[in-house]
Amino acid sequence: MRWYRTPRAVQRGALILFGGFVMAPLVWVLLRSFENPVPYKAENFFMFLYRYLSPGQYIDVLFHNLEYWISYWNTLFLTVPTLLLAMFLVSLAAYGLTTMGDKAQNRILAGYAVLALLPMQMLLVPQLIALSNMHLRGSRLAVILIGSFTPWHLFFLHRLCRRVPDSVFEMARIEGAGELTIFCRIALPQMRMGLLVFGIIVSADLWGMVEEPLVYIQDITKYPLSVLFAKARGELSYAGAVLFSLPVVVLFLNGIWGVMEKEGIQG
Amino acid sequence: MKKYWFVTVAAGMLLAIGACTLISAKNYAEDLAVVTLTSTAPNAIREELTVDGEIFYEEISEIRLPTSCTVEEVFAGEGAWLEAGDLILRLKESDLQIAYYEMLLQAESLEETAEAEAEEFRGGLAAWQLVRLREEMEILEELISQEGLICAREEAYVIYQGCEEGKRTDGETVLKLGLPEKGYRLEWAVDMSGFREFTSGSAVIGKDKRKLALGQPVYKNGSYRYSVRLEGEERYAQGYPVRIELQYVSEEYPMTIPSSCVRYDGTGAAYVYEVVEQQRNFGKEYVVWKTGITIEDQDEKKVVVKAALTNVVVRSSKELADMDAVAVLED
Amino acid sequence: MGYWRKAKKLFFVLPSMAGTILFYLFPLCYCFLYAFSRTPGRFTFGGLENYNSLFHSDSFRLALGNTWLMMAACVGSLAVLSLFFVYILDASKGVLGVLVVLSMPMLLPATLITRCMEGVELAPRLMLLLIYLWKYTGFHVLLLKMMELTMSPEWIEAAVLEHARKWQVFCKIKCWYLWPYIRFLLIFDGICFFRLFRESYLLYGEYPPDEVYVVSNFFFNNFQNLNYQRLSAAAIAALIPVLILNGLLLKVGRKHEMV
Repeated sequence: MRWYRTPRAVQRGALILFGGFVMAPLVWVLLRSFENPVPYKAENFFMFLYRYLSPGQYIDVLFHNLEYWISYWNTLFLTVPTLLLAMFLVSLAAYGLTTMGDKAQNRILAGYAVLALLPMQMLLVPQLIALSNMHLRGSRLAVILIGSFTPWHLFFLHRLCRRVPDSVFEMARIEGAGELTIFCRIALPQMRMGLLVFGIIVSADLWGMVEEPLVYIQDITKYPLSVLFAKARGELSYAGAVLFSLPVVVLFLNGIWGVMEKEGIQG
Repeated sequence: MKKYWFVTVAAGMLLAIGACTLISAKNYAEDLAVVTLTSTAPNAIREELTVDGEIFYEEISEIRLPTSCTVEEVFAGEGAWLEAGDLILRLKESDLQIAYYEMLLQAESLEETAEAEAEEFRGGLAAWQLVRLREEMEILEELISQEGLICAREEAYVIYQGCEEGKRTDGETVLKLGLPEKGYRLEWAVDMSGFREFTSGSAVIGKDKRKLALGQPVYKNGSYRYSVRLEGEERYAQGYPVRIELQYVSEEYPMTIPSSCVRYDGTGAAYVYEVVEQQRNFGKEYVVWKTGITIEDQDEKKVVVKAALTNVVVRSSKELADMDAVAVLED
Repeated sequence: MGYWRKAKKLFFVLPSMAGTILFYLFPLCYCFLYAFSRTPGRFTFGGLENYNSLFHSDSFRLALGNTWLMMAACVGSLAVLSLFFVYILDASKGVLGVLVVLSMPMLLPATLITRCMEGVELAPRLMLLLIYLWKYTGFHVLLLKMMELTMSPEWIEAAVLEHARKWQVFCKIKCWYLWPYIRFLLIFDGICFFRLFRESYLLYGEYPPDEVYVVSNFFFNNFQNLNYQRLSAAAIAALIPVLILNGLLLKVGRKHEMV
């Protein structure tokens, strides 16, 4: 088996190169976020420190930027309900799919895949017309509904959770358990890891949404932070961008270690 | 414990976001400059000027007008300053000629009477009357030769104008001309910049602060001169101090703002801060816009502007800059 | 009994499906209809007028060309790059840990990357390609590596006994095993490609340079100009290649599939 492995040095080199490529922009943003918002001339070492290692941007964003925090709440108001609704719907649907025959399952999934592959901007108009008819245009609910029914969610979760063998459900059915019981007691725990990964990825996707709120809400008081960044191009500080990304990073590291541990134990 | 780790982190983040929002809101409110607002309103510009002048003694020359002729035109009202040759009055020429011929006839009859008197060695009244008549006829002749126009012979100003246009003169009608250097005169020097034509004013004289109405001023040799009727006021001798109070009230301008609104930048250009509403994601926000203005006219309290301005900052608790967010005090 | 059971199963799929039909399939049908309409509000039949004007429009042709070119470049280079890393790297715990960290960019909001790319002067196409690779490579490698872990080691042992070379093992066994995931990822890449609009929007605004003007921009701009029926026609025109591609992807390798 030994020859089968790539030499350590090559692996390390590749990882370092790749890691550098991935991490460089992040490190850059992180460093820039500590730059003093006031561009003092760095005459001596202490001024240099004051210029390039100051919490100024963070203090500005944290305590002096009401707009930022209102948008932050808007982001939460959009993301959390969408995420919860999407997870609920998709876990139901994924379970429903696994109980169907292979053929029906594949057809439905193919349909979802086609819808998922459409550029989202294509359906803006008819979606907007549909929303207008439902008197949802301009409300947060519009974005929440559109977001939680996104076709690629099911497609994605289904792929992540495919490994639950059918026989388990059959056994339960023979035991006389109802579908709902099976879903809650067997399917959900089985899907937990998949749902976690799904949740992380979807929440990250929702966290940064720009065009949906821009089109469906069209109300500045309800715009999320990402739209604020889009509108004030280059005006908001690096610290703002870092703080905006922080929850996603924490959630990701938090969740993925759990998955890794589980997978590690399983593997 | 590990199970709730995720919930703990999420709750912690929510708390942090909430705390930051509250602190930002507080800081936002505290960072705002508090302003009071006003808008342009119609108003007139008023200005008052008080200066000290002196009374100068002045000789008065009286022009007696021939009796019975119509005054066609009055060129110089009371208080008018005249150069030598300036027109004062025009009398109706035909009236003058009629009067002249009447006088001529009268003179003939007087001559006869005078001759008779001389023969009879009576009195001499007619002769004296004749001399008077001749004098008057000379004046009339001169007037007729000037087509009825009366001019100033030297520098003078009209102290008393007894004539009115269209009315006939009678024996009492006089025109009093004050001769400079010789009569009463109020005089003071006025700084030319910022001087405007004061529409009304009065001279305050004496301990009892008597107010006398002033006529139109005349600018001469760097000072404005007002004439004032001082009939019977001879007790005020030359050099008697007089305070002169002048008021200026302009027409009503449609758009004025208080002077305290106006600020000046480094180049001396005037501007005001106007407050506009801006829609932000946390609701309405008031923002000041720097608006350049051109000052049409001003007095101590008001400035006349051309454009209609609404919500102009009168007072601010802090130095303002363009696009600053502010808090607006309710009226 | 059979029908009832089927209905009960459908009950689980129904909520999601209903929403998807309402918000995605129905709008798509609306597009189909209005692609033939002359007016935006009420339907008046205009034949192929919209298509005619669409294919004579330079911006649409530019957008379509750019889309396919960039999509091919992005998806292709991403696939090659991630398979390269899958080939090179071990599935050890340490490597996986590093990969987890490196897959983070996918989750980071577009604002972060565009914020740091603002000052960088790069050809727009290269810029978007780099952003795309930056975002998704780590995740792809991680996912494939994790899936590789679920593969039974006996197959490789058997191959080793047969004196198979490394690349043979990789091509014949691993890729074959991973094919469903790779296919899934390819479709996912397509979705992600259209999501790249966000970065493009944040970087270049509503009117990006010509080289990166893709159908997403075309749709978005036409939407803002309220040019609905033309938009519908464009949607249909863009949908057909997507359908074909998707069908091909689903067909290829179906018979080899074992999962």
